[in-house]
Amino acid sequence: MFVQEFIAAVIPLYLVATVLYLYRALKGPTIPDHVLGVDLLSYNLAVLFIVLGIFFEEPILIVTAIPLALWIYALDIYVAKYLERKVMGA
Amino acid sequence: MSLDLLIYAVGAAASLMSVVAVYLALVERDLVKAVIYSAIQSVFYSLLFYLFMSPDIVLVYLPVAGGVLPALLLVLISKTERFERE
Repeated sequence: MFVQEFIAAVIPLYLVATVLYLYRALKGPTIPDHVLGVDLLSYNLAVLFIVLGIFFEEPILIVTAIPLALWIYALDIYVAKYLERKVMGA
Repeated sequence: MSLDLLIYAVGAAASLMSVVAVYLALVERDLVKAVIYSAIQSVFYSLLFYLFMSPDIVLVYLPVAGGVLPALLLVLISKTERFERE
């Protein structure tokens, strides 16, 4: 099938992008570089989830992309709040 | 047949990269960076659960490992010290 072969050709590009984002997320000199690396990694992975959901022809798999993007965004809020005030919570 | 092999290759790459993140989280002295490394590990584990065809586990694992656990660890770090001593 044409769509499956096209997606199979595209998936290695997503893997290369994942490796590049992972390098920045692991190596980044400052804390905001790490956090931005995790963000880009997870947003890339959310798109990969949707593409793989089309690849496997399973619509239920696509639902998992939405919590991934939302909950990793919460990590930004936590780290920003910690770096701003040095306190979390009450 | 090669398409199945591609999916296995994606899973193998994700597990290798999660091992790197776990090692760095263990040896890191700055505890905020260690929390971020464990978030990277949870992102790759969610990809692995996805490839094992269990989206329900992904839906539970992401709020716990991406939302609750970093929040709890940052609250604990803010109560104590940020850098680990010898």
